Amino acid sequence: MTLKLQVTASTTQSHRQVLADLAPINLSNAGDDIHVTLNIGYGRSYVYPDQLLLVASAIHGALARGVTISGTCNCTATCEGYASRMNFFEYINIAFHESFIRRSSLGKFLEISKFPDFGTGNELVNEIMKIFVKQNLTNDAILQSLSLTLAELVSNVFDHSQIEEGWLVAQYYPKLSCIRLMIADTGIGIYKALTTNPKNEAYKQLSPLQAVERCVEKGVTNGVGCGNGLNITSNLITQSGGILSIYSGENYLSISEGNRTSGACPYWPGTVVFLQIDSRASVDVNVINGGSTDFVDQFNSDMDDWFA
Amino acid sequence: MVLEMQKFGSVLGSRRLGVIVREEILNALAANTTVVFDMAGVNTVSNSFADECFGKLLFDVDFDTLKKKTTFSNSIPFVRDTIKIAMNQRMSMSSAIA
Repeated sequence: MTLKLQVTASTTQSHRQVLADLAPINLSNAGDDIHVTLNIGYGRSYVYPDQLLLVASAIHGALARGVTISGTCNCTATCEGYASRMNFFEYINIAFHESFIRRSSLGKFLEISKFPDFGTGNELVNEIMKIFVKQNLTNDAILQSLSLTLAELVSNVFDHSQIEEGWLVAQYYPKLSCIRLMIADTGIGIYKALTTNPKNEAYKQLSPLQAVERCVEKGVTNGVGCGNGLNITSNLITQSGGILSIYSGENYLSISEGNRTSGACPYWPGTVVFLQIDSRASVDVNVINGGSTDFVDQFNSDMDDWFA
Repeated sequence: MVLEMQKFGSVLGSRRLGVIVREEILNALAANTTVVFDMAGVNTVSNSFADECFGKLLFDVDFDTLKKKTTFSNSIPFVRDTIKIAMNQRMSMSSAIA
């Protein structure tokens, strides 16, 4: 198959619009030939790091499958340095001459990072926390909740996706008190992970949409885990009033400021989890983690002597 | 035996890592060695890791014996509470099956 397509990533676009542009790449097979015109940024707008991650991981995945991808990348002046610092061009296999001095990103953001094992993934989580602290994010409850959530999401990639590779990007915008994070994989997706040989036979009856809708419920699992990872993630968003968007296969779930929507979306192989969080939010880590004040009080008497 | 958990990372966050560490713990217990889990330098323990590493020890050892033969040191409250939550969840699952 030979095709030409345009992919646009800018702050004026939603994730679903970017996914729609990327769908032909995600559906391509070895031997296909794709000519892509990438438009990064548009007019005076910028580009979000998570949008760059979607494009980079889609193209990288297609190249790894044996798809031939050629084309051009049109980057606005405001975006090209940022995209380069994010290692975007490196992952899409485009040589880009940096006409600026690249300073260490440490303390600014976690650039688009591919992690091939859980150890590297966990180190990236630690790095993200250091970056946020360095940027004077002092809300300990948010930091702890985020590190817990990200550690679970990294674990999910290797427990469920059946692909030994994940993608991560993170940035904190101190002036906006806004954290944006995305973790993605191009594995088998939530529907297949949940419904293939589940311990709970009832899950075999779930539709792809139902699988995505229910993946955030406590205890929903194929039996490999306890079904906590995405539940913890959703608890964080519920408590903080932030945004959680999950894209997997042809379905999505979004929780935004207490409102929940779900439905069809352009195809993504595997799973994408996006978080946007207000760094000033007041949250209770124990409740996010599935505990409660009652539980801690009751359990203290049994367990305190285990911890010196 | 002191098991310095930081050697596995400051973020202990995956089930696969939990399997590896649990194997090490079980080997020590089989050799009749008491184990101290030194959590110094560990900032985060995920629920998944805690369940796989500590919770599933209950498949081989009852909780009272586990408390006699193992202990934690230098764990920050956040890490301690996550482990407690995971242990409670695993015990509840085991009770439900029984």
